[in-house]
Amino acid sequence: MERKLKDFTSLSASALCALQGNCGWSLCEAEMLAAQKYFKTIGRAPTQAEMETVAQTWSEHCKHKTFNDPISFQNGNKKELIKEGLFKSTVYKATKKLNKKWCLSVFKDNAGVIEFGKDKKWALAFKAETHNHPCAVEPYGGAETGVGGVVRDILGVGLGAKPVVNTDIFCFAPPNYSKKLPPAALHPKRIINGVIDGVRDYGNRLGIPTAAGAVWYDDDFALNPLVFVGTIGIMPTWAVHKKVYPGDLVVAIGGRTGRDGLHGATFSSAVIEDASEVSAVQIGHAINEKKVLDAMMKLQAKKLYRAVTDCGAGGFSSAIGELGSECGVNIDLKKAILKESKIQPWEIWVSESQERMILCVPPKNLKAVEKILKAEDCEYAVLGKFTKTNKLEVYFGKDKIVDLDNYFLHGGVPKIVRRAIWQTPKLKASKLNLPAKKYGELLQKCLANLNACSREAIIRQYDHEVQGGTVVKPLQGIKHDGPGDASVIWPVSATGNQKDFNGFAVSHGINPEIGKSDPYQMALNCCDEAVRNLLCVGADINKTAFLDNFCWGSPENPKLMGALVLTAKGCYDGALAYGAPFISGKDSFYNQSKDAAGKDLPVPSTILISATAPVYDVRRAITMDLKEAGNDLYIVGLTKDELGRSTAAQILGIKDTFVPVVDAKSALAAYKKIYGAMQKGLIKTAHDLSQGGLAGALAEMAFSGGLGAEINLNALPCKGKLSDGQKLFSESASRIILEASPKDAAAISKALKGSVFVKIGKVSEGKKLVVKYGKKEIIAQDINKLKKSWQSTAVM
Amino acid sequence: MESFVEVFYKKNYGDRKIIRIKNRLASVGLKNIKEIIPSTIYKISGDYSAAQIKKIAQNLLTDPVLETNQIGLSKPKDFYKVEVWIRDSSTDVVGESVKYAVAALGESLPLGVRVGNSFAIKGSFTKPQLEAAVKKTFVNEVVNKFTIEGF
Repeated sequence: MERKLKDFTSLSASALCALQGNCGWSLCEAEMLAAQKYFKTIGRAPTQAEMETVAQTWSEHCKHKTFNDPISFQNGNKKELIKEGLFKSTVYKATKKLNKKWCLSVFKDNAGVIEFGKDKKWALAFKAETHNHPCAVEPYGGAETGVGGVVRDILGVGLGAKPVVNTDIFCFAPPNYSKKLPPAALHPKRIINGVIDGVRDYGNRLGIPTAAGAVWYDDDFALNPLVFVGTIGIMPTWAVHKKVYPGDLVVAIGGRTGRDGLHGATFSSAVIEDASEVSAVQIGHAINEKKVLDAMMKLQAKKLYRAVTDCGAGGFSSAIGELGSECGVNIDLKKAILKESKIQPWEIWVSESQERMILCVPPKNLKAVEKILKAEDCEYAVLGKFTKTNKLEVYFGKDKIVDLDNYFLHGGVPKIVRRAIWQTPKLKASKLNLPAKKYGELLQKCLANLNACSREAIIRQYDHEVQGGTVVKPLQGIKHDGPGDASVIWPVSATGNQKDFNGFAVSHGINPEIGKSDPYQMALNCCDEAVRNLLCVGADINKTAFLDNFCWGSPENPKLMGALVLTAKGCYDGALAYGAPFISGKDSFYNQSKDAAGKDLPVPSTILISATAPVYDVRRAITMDLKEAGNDLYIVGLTKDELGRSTAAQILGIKDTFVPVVDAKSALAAYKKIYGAMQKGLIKTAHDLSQGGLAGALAEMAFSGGLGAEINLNALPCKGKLSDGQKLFSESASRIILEASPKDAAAISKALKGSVFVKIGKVSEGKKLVVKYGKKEIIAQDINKLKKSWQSTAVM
Repeated sequence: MESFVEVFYKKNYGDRKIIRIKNRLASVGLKNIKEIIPSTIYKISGDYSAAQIKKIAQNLLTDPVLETNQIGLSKPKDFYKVEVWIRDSSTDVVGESVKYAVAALGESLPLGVRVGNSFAIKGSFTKPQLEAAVKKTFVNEVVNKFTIEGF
């Protein structure tokens, strides 16, 4: 290959493409030509390390090209040119427009940072990452290193935050998947078990609670699972911003560098084929990361460094290159601590060995830094220093292996106009009229459905109590096994102040099923669900912050791009409507593989909205289980003919019917009123309506609280005339069930005045969920039987 | 020089692990399993005397309440023996921890330690059937290498 690089500046376009294919750089022809033009200008051929650096820096993973490039979009007959690219015209634009003063650092660091608590003393950092490609190939190691990576993002934001909670959201094919798989693919059951084991083993060993998550099942995740891992950390506000000064030392701390993890960034920017490189897969070392975490917290408290970032995709090349992008940097890789001696210099440069961080240390602080690192048994190496040259200069001993101008490396990637097409499918009204006796049976089936049933078998594997701050837990109710809407965390382990009861809630919205019919509404529904879940635990939804995670197939497919454009537009509208800025985000493309018949199988286009909002007094947080017989039950929100893509529709084979359409303006107005009622102490219980609709939510509340409920659908607020089945199982958005004491009925009416709400029934002493329409009994089910259905499905 | 230490559960203490192995193999069609003996194998590279290896095995690698050990590898009669290792090209995280723990015990730092999961298995099935089941359950050839010996 060295010979081909010598001829680099004279190679034809096709030879350049062949070269990049052989080297696994995942660069397109235009990018190879741009690189060739640069090296022609400076009058020499590149070294392998330089081309590896370009490939890493320009990878989809690092540069987010699909979100930054212009897009030509055709929606039906309507054409649009999105010149600025999706990021600037949607998620980032919404954040800029909302201009919330409590956003301290957004879209410019390893995580988004917002204010936390009172007196502006603390800040909260939140990041969610994906680790899809590695998990498809080696689920255990892939999941472990996914957790390790996102935790390091939090350690590497600003001057470092202390991680206080991890989140985990997975999309898998069902564990009993029976279709034929291609030879290299692992069965979904193995992927599920491996991923869950990996998240458990890494998170638990780090001493960070894994306390919020979700799982979505769909056959089309068989070859490419989606593994979203997130971390929230708390930091002092003085530590929110970092700055690199020329003359400061480049100090690498943590794990040693080896050949594991080569080409991770470019690997995640390509379609997985049979011959996926073994070296792209890594195995995490949680104990090493714990040493880094402990050392970092001590170094940060003493203000011994001025900037930090983690070694993620691209390893040293990406981390050191980014830190030095505004001044310049000069390093010697011979000083790096290695796992093995046979490693090539360029491999040291791009290796993605885990558990490594880069610190920017003023020379006068080096001794103090070394003392702490030695005390924490954390290995380190001083690799070089930051300069004023505006150049990335890398040596291996006396050999200069990289000498690149920052303007080329960080600004030289060519823009390519991408094509996006969308044709809205025709949807129709639904019909759901079953004999009254059959609705109980349908409810049981809905509860047992993979996308609605209990996740206890997974949740119990995670330590969600470590650090002692998980106030509202993922499993709720009298037996601690009901499905919580969100978790509430009291980060006392970070603040150390046991008299300060400020906390935060963390929730998610995900529903790729809706996206199959309407990607725009998928995004809005996910925003709505995330906000609704926060509200249900008593969080102040006026201060909601969103994170986006887009997971898609190939961006070269115009139809998938069409869905992406609409989803991003939905995110923009959702953020503005809920007044909730996006503070961080991530995209993952090429989540597709050839199936057993050799046909491309992309994952269902998926957006995950993660959300957090403050809970000013964690002692007043609310859970979803029914509390007391005799209490009133209210429903807030309108039920519509929106069975499309619902749990019941999938069970009954109802296709192409209307999916939930979000009226965000009305929803937010109602949510604010509910929050007001919560602040007055009027609400005992709140639960959102999602999978299984009204019937599903009532059942979950009843069996979690060990109490029955008597409901009458007479007065249920509906749009148009709906059948009993539609009322019970429609999955219309923005609906919440509330429990309140009868003595507060007048106060509730006053608090909710102006929003769509009605009292639908009462909590009962008996162990039955009874639903009537007038005097006609539609459902009469023993809550223990319903719970059994909900718990009986094997999720792994 | 390489030394092997194999650590076993004492009788009645490894039942859950045995059931788990049995269930996983059964889930991919390997039935008629009569007996399973699980173990963990430590391959220690370095210049150590037999007494030093015995000390490492006793004081570091074996829980005296639950486990027992033997120096060298077992070859139970009438059993197939399955060994699953992390490939040499991948970091063996547990092995790395053991390596530094040996030094903390007062011995010289090993050149390397690798840790393998192993089980001896007896039943009415053929070696190819066992191999197919092991590949579908305990081995991901992207990161693992494995051997099946016996009969």
